[in-house]
Amino acid sequence: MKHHHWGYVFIAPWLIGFLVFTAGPMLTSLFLSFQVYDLHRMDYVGVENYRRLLTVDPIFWKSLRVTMLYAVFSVPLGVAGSLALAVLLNQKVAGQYLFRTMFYMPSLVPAVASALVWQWLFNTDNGALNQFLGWFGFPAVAWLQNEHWTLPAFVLMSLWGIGGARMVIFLAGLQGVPDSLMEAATLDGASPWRRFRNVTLPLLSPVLFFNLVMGCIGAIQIFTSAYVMTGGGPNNASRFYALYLFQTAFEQFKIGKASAMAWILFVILLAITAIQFYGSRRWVYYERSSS
Amino acid sequence: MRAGRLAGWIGLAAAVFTAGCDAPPADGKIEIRYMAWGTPQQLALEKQFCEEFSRKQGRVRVKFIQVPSSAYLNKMILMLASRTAPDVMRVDHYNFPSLVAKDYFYRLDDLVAADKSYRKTDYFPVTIEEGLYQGDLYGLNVLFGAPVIYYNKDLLRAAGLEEPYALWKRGEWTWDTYLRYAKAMTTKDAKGKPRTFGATVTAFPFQCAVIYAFGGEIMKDGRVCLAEGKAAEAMRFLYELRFVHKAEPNASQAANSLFSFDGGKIGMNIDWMGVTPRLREVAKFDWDVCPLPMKPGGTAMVKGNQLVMSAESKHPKEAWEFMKFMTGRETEEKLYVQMRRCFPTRKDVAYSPEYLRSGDQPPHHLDAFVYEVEHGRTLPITSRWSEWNTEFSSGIEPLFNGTTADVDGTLREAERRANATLAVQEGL
Repeated sequence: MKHHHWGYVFIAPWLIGFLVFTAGPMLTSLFLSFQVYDLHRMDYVGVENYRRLLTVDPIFWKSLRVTMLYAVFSVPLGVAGSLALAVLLNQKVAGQYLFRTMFYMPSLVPAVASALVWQWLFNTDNGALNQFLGWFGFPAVAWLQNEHWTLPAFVLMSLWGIGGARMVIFLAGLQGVPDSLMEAATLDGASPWRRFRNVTLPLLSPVLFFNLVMGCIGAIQIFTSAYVMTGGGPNNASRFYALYLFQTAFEQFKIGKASAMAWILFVILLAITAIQFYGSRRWVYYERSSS
Repeated sequence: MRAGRLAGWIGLAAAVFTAGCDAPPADGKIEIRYMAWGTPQQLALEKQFCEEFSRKQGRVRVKFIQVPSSAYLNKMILMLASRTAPDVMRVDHYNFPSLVAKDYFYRLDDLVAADKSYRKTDYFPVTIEEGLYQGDLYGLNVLFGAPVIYYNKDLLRAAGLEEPYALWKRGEWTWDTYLRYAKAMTTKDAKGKPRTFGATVTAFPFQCAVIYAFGGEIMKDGRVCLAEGKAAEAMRFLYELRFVHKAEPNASQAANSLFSFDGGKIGMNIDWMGVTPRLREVAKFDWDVCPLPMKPGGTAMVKGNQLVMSAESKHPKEAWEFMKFMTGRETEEKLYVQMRRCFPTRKDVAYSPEYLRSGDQPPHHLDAFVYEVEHGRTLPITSRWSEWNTEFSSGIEPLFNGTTADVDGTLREAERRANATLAVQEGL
């Protein structure tokens, strides 16, 4: 065997895994998106699945709208929250490691368990959230029963994750900001806010960008909490895209339609990510050593 | 040479992957596979049945495959689609029409005709009716039953009320009385917070039991008609029970089992006969059962599961023997008389003194079960039941969540959405 063939041998497990478990199913789903397929009968229908989704199916548009609204609110709030928390936990105070552990812990709770806890918190009559609001004279809100309040409830719940992996990445980024720059800014008389705004934030912008991209992809794929807490209700107010896709594929067994939905989601995510990358040229600063 | 080596590797891989698949048992017995889901107690009993059948048959062995209920449907569909389904399996009747239409199941008529020991007349006609598809028999009914009213006798006593069963026996058990009872058993604490509720009727399709009892229809000429006539009247009754009379917990009060019948905080609960073994285990209060009140023209609602044979079964005769055994007198006596799970499909078991005899534990009024089945009607479940049901249930959520009080308008819109779903070609 030639020397360079060993390279292929070593990457073969990954390559085979990718072809069998990722590329294969992706291409199959592309093929299926042009069929009516219920695991039994398969009929070619051309672009009918796409046409019906885009022009006839009202739940498709509702689920897309609900998902986008969720992403628009939860991603900026979540990223800002994680950044703020990371800045606080980067302060050299007593018990720093304890605080970091405490704030990270909620993200270790399994998604299903946390959804059940939040179901309790959102309970109209006995939930902690309404009791808290009641102290300030606010009326009880039917968070998960009133279709106008369901989306805000899910956005609120998404903030549960601000202390998770995103915060850890910010924390790592903050620790990479050179002390010399901060000292120079301090000597120049920059206030803490100016130091954060003009030194920390530009140096942190690649991390911020990464978290924004990943946050958007994650938010658009929201599934578990809605599946456990509302099943998509009330009146489709929390029928997020991934949930609708799952229900179409594995509850109604409309595999062709679900495959078309998956490809539409892929294109949407690709477009959003491309726009983010294009926009990042204006505000993301990559430090490069000058030679 | 290279090609030969490659073929060798492929052959080895195929042998490794398929090892154990369909291998004949070493003892030369015929093995048939049976797949089901259920409660741990029921599955333990079914395992015993499999062992007993294997012992009696001698030359046949039943391999029992237990699957959690949450994963059952998907697993079964994938097995059927990949032609690896077990010889015999249980199918929830909600899924039976869509699967039987795909020719997944063995047509049983020839086996029935050739078998003198099996008589359809031994069974309640409605149980046979459910297993038919285009006039042919594909399923034997098991775990059959109807919703009944479970009532908390402690709460009745506290409210100074007579048992509903006694009223029913005298012909005085009406929906007006039901409402009066529900209101009387709804109590509040000193701060005005609910302590107990008089009744609960869980979501659609349980509401169908009330619709049938009111004399309403669910579908007419292939269209959903739940916004019309008696069906709409029943839905209005249920809405008012919750939001006008406040005698039923709303969605948030019922969430997380804050107010549940099992917890002793509900006076009357409409539920399947099959929950009896669980209640016997968990209820820390005195309880019993009675039929739902019935308006003129009203009926009860019945539904079962189907015991079906895979069309791919290599041992249809043996599988048929097993299906017969699972719906035979001996088995039904153990499952329905001793364990009180659901209702017998065999008339001789249902009318036997053993079944009707009141034991140490509730329910004591077994004639209530018999009455419901005798007056029972099946649900119009077709291959598109779940599709339109999802849409209809979603449409009536604003009504039963209390975000609208427009009963007629909400029902009409939900009905329109359900019928719009049915108007689309199946599968799209």
